[in-house]
Amino acid sequence: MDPLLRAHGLTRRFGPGCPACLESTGARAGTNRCPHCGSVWACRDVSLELHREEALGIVGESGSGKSTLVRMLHFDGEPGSGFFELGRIPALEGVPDLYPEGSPWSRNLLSLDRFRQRKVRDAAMGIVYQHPHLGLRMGVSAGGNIAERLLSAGWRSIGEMRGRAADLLERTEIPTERMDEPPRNFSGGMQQRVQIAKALSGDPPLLLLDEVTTGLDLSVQARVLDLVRALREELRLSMVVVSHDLGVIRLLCQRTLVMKNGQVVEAGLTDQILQDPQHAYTQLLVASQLQ
Amino acid sequence: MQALEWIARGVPHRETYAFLDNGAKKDVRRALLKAVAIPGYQVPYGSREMPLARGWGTGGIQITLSLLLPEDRVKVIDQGCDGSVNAVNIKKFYERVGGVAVTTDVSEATLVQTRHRIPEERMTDRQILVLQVPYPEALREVEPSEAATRRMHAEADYARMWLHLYEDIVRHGEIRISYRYPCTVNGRFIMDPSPIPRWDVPKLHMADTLFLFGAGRERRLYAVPPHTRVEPLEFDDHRFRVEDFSGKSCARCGATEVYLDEILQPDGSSLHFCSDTGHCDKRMS
Amino acid sequence: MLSVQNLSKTFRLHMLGGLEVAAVRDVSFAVEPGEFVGLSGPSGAGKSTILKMLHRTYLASQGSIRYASPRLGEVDLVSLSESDVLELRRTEIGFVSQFLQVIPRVGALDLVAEPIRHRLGVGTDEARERARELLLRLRIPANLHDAYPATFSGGEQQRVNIARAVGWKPTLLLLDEPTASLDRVSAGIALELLSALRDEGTTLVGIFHDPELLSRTADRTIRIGD
Repeated sequence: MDPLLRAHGLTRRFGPGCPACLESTGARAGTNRCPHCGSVWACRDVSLELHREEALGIVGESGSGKSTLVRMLHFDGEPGSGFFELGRIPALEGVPDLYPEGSPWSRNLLSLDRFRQRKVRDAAMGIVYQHPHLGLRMGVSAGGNIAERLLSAGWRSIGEMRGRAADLLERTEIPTERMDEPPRNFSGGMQQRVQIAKALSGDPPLLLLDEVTTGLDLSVQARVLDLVRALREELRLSMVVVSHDLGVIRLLCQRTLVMKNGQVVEAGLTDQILQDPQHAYTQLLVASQLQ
Repeated sequence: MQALEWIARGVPHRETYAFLDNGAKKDVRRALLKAVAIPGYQVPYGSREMPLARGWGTGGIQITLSLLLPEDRVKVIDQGCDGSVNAVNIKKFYERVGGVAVTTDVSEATLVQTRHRIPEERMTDRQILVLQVPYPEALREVEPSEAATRRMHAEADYARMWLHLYEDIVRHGEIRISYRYPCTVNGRFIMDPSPIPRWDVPKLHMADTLFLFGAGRERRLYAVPPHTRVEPLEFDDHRFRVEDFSGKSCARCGATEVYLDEILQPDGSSLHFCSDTGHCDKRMS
Repeated sequence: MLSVQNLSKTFRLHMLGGLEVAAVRDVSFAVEPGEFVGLSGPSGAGKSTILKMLHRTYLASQGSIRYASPRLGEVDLVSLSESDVLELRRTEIGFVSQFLQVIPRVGALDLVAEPIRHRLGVGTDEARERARELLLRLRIPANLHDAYPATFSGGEQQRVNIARAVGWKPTLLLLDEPTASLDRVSAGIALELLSALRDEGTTLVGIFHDPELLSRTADRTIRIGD
């Protein structure tokens, strides 16, 4: 399998940090927050690898750092530290000085200037958040939401953008007559589907999904998941799927990372994680599912 | 380059000439040099106290005072008119503190200061146009936070502005911005050309003249040097259009290819008149 | 095709204070290409565990599983990289468990057709046609083909499961009590399908709850746990 993304040492800390932080936080300590200095280690020294057309699951409970991790990959918020590199992607060939001469891997994306980070993000990634108002502008039309990515990439024809938006709305099972309505008028499931359409507007090879079905009704969840599966196959997407729901992970992902208090405690094939969990926390998680 | 020469032109050190002290003038001139070096970029500066209230042209006045020389001939217009109260008062001020001559004829002026219009007569490479700007931030319409708009300019992250135009077109069939039409300068920064009508925007593109923009209340200066691209934001299938005056002419001088003001008559009908009164006068004589 | 050597598996149950359960102890056997081999032995002997280690769903504690992959050559499934394991599962190694993994909003026919389409590179219509034949063969009536298997009976679900595993003709097929929930007739049909698969060159390793069924179909039986 062809590697698409590799990262190691991904760390995001809020607060000053102190010498006691290392032993006082993490999976074994059972907390993200250092009792001595109050720093929160949302994500500590995480490594991961994703191959092309593969879906990687990241599972954990609140405070595990799974959302922080995926937002770091998307360059949301303040930058964290660590190394994050992408393999050769045609859409990124236009970003100035991204790949060192002849190298199959990019430079460390976390150390790039914001301008190039945005270019990389717009060309290579789409993200869908749990809460639609994080990923959508509620006051802007559904079509406008989709067009924003295109506008950022330099599209300058209204007709072409609307054509692409209509195409994506159709693919995400949203009636195209509603293209000019703002998403605040839509149901929760439909808002999620608009997010998906928006995430895919730039034709990215990588899709990041952050708890996208949490909070949705069961039938709505099934529809969204089925849509994600179908789109993944049709568009040959690589995906990182964050969820606390093992059922979602099982359905979508071949490999999974288990996170606790900002650290990865176990990584492996999804069926192995679910049926032969090695780490104590993974065993607890698996035993806790309703099935 | 000529624009830089003008801004750099010296003033006797020992005297305070034209109201502003030398320190203030240096501040403004340095900011102007930077503005010329980075076309369309809003340069912060220490806006001084002026003998008129903020929002009445203090920025434009500070630029003019910082560049003024005794041999200058200055024209000041307000909405195109040489005779408005503001324009007249500002001219009197320049006569008093600078000892300069004033004129209403563009071709005679060395420096023109304006509020909300660009003269109809094409200006030369020997002249400077100083524009008074109430709101220098083109992105304020889509983003209320100053920190956010500075980041957007720094990163050339203008999608939200383009999105605003897209939504206008989707909702109303056209872009409804009538003045302060956002433009990309030198292919890099989006600039607010000040509240000039659309009609005047094309005059900024690849012109011979140096354009300087002053916002006193907001404490920003920016510039469009000669021969700089100034491109109003538009789409391939929804192009920038100026106001349509077809079939209309000035009731006084008969001009057609000019920006016209519509004046309602007591009987309910309307007449059109040249907004640029100096130009109208010239045509009449 | 397969050479299992000194394979052992011990589960460590952290929730019971780290209790260790030895499920498989030092098992060795070999399977020739094209053989249909049955694993027999008492309940709890570790047959299912062995099968899951062959599929790499379980991690082996000790030992090796040498597999002659047409694609990757001679590999040890115990230590093989995750991406290679996924590659083999995608192209060569199949697994039929007792339970059908249901995918929401995907009908029975599409469930069966999906691997045929992807792994054999067959077009959608052709894949659906083959899937249809398989389902009919396994006595799932046509009017149920587009229904969601979640609503089927246990036996019906299992027949869909078998069709799904068989349709793409894997190199190695692992079977964990595939006929447990089937009636005699259906079980018989399933076994015919499996035998046919063996005749076409697939190697099969399976656990069958019914020893009579086992002796009827398997070329050889390997006894585990005595």
